[in-house]
Amino acid sequence: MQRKPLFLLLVSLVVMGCSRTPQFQPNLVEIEKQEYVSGWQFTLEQKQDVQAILQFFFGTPDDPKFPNEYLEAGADQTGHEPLIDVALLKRAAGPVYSDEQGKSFGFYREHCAMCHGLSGDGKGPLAATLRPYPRDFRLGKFKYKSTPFGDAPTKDDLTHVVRRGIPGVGMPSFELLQREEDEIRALVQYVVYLSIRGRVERRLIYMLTELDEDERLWNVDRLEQAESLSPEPDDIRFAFENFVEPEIERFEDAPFRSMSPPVNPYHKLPPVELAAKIKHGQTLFQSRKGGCHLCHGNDGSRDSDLENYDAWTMDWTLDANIDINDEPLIGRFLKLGALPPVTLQPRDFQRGTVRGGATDGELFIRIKNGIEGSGMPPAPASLTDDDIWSLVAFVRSLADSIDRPTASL
Amino acid sequence: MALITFPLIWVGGLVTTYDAGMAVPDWPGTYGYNLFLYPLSTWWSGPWDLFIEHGHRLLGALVGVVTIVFVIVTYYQDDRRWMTRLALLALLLVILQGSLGGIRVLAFETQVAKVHGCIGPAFFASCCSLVVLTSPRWRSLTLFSDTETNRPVLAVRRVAFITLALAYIQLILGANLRHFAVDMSPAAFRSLVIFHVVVAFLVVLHAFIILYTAHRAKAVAPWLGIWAILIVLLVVTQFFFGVGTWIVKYGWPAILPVPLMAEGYVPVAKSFVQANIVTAHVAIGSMLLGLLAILYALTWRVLPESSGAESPELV
Repeated sequence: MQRKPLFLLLVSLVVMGCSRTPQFQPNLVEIEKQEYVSGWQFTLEQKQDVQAILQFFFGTPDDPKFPNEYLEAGADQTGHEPLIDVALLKRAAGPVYSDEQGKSFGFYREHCAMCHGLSGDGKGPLAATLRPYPRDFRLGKFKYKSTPFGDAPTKDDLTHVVRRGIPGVGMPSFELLQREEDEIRALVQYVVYLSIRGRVERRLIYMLTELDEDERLWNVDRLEQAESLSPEPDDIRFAFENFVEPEIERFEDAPFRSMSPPVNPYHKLPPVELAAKIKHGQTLFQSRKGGCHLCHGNDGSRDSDLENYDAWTMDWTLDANIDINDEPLIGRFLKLGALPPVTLQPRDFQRGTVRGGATDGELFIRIKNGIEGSGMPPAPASLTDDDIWSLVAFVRSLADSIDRPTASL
Repeated sequence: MALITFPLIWVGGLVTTYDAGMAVPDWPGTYGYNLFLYPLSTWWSGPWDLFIEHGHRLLGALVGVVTIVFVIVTYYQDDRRWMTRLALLALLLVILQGSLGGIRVLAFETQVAKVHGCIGPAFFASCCSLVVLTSPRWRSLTLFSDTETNRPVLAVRRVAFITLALAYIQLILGANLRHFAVDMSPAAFRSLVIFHVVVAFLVVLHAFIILYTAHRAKAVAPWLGIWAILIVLLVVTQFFFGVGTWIVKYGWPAILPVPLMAEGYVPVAKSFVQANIVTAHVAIGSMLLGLLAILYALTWRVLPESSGAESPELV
């Protein structure tokens, strides 16, 4: 009988302090940046307004929401499925468990949060041990996609990356998750959800720079009553139309701006003509017209002295006129969770691996559209599609193995 | 006990590897059934995560029952009262371990899984030492006394103890790396990784020191040598499985230069190779703890002082 109180004490010691409902983290780096750029110090209430609005529209990590009900054109009218299926979103969210039939829940926390973070901020526990850092979804920029520079990716683009993984960077392939068909769909939708939420947060934080010190972003008391009012209060409609809807539309428009990987019209050239194509590509690669050599080196082996940073680093540094070499200032951001700046590593083609897809069509898209966020710009307008195919041929010639399937275990 | 605890630890590793910790939401029953009455056909042909989680619980129950039997047998058959106390301690450990497993499920708390993952190997190590302590052959040897002749054995014992402590610290660090909170800071996780790597090198170093000291003690305790060799082999194997675990989960380590063959490498989540390398790393860690516990126990006996005594095979 003396074991029972000891057992209960042990239970309480073990459980006490363990349970902690995960929460989305505010984008402290963005807040600090906007305060620095604007010279304003946001009030605590203003910052809380941002989180209150986000929670209203997007819920929490354990109970996500998506404002489908505020969208004017739904699936019935356009014939397209809604951008986000809330039922799938809820399956991807929350803690990891499965039911007696083996139906799983909590995919994002199971597969993604350890690198990409609970908030999609790219600061999961593993972030500091990986190079490059895991993607921060909140900027809404994605490298490997079929849409032009500056556009959102399509869900198919994200699905492709999730299924295939990315060689050499620690992004695994989740091909085997296809055993349960909805799992990858749910994951992709959750990534879109985090990206939209993150961009809305950035808009709201920027809005704070246009408020006076005593102005609130939103009357929170009215917000709490909002769900019981009909029709929706003006505040909610205003917030949705100005901050949320544009971000949803950005993703909804993506499929209409997507480009399918084209078929290489020069795929089966005779050797002499192929050599001429490669030679033309080499000339473009090494000339000012193409400009590739500036980062990749004349022979594609990355022999360059450029000190450049990716978009996610530049967003809180150079884009905000913050000197990366100003250690005290950079230190302020590091204390708020920013990861230390790391210089870009342009691809060394002679090593035979490309990360955004190794087919001719994918190489074509990478060159034409650029790789957003990586420092790889879209091809100059002066380059024709024929020129780009020549560049594809030259890049392939640099290493025989570029078209070899990537290794995986 | 040791023979059935090791598979239990392996299956427990699989539970974490396949994220099956919450495949059964209740405890101690399974989906409302008594643990032992859950329909066999449902268990056998059901989802994989339910199979391994319920199987883990059944194996755990078996270990518990065998431990109870061990306590009873020891009480009635072994005249050493301290052995009975040790047996009771083992029973307490396995009860604690089972309770932690239940708390983990009922509280839906993955951090409790971390503690569960540390107590299990400790119990396994205690089982391994009990194998030695109950061995008639071991008991037939001379109890260690601190003489000049026996001093080399004392050196083995001390290094074995330090290595055991280091290996357990390493296991705790590994448990933290495996069961980290999703909102853990990147800096904290990186520190854990660094410590885990540093302690790994320390364990390897100490394993070789064990080999050296065991060699020096062969005149009075010749059986230590083979165990020392096994420990070195296992430590080196574990080291490479550790590197392999990182690679199959997270890709080539960023701090190391990338060889050409690793450039195109893509980890495949939930692949057979990934699952088994990671789970093996967990299980080998426990096995190492067990071997070190055996070695430590073996240093408490030496050869009889009369010359010509044959060294018995121990354990």
